[in-house]
Amino acid sequence: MMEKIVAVAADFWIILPSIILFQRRAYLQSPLNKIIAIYVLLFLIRNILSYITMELNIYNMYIYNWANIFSGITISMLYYHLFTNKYFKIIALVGMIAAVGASFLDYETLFNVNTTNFNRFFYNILGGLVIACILFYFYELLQNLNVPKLTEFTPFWFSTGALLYYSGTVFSYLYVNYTFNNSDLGIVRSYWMIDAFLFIVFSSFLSMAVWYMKPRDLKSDF
Amino acid sequence: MAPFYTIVIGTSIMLFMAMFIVVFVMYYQRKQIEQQIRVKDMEAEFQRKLLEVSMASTEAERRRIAQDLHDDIGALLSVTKLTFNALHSQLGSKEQAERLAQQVREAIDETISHVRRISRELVPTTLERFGLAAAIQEFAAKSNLQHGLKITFDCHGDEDLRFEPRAELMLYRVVQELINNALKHSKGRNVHIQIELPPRKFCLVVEDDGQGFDFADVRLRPSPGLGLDSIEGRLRIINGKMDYQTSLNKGCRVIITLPNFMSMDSKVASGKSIIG
Repeated sequence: MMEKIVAVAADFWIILPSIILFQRRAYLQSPLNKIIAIYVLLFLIRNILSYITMELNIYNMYIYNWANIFSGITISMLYYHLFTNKYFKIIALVGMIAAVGASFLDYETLFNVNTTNFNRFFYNILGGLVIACILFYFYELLQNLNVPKLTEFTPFWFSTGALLYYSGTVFSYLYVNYTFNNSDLGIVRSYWMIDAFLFIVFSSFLSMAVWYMKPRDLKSDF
Repeated sequence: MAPFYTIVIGTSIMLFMAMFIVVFVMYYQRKQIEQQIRVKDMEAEFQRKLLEVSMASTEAERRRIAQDLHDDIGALLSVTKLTFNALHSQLGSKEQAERLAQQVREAIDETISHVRRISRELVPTTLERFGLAAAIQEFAAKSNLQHGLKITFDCHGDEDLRFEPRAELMLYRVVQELINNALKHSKGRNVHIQIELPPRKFCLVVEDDGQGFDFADVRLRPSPGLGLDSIEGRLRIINGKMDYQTSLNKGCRVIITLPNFMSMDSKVASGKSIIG
């Protein structure tokens, strides 16, 4: 019962940043805000679809696999946009191309609607890449020192939420996937509980990121 | 260990590390920004002191030149005039000699008055003796005589009140610069100077009805002109603030205030002396 409540709460928590995003829709001219808006909408669509399919007892793992790919592409676009260092830009771009390429090696998880498995390659690479991008971005923030107040800075809230979500889920994902190969349902449920809980945290940080959006990109955004 | 606990502990460690990174970034960034602000403040203070020393040395040099003009050249000219008068009395009354003598006497008189004027302008003795209001009034009156513009002066408050000499001199130089700007560039007919002296507040307004200018445009120039740098530099030394209200064909109004003035009320009451 508890699992169900947390899972549903996680699915619907994304509505919070979506509402704020709707309220801030006038600020969506800036590329940074657009990318974050795409990211929020992507998760909103994923959660709505997964909730409906869950209620109808339809397999929905392939939805998660595709959503992961699109979210990964969006995140790499975001950090490509934010980075000032060209090597970091290259890492964000090449890393994402490699991750997407690798995900098609396990094409069954993407094209078989009845799949029950995660894509074996994408989430590992995505998690590592996102964590690396966020660390590089924090390094740039400390190098450039052009943001007077981090707590009122959209990319900082986004990065903090993403770091907590991906660093928290990557370990449990790897552990569940490689130690038990998704065979122990109890352990898989534990993973989903952690994922759902961290997604609530991430959505809350996304809400803050959307709340602090500025009408246009400032120099300090880069 | 049960797999569930392994997941929870592993995830907790990862989350703890992530939180540590975020907190470290926030803390380090704040410290660095504070450090940056401190360095900027120190640089600004250093610049202010440098400017103060530079202006003090300029004033000292002016004083020395004024002193030399008054004591050496002025005295020499006076002696020359006396000698010439003595010589003239020996020449008799030939008409040609009389006319030449008159011309030489007039030239010497004019030179003496020029030396006196230059000497007085270099060091405003009225400012030192009678204070800011009197010095500005005198300067306005002199400028009135020399140019086609009509300069009016209005003073409210305690005219006997004295500021710190450095502040008085800086404010006087700023007013000089503003009046000169109006005379040279405004193409107006009237200049009005208004000074509000303590105990109520300190406020100095110089306004003209001339052609005005685009302040933002002048400010953006690599070398702003109109002595803006000099005026701002002097005001920075005494913590003064300047507000330009001008636009094309709408004249120009400059308001100078000393925001720190209010805190010096006690000094006003006790010693009748204010630091800017």
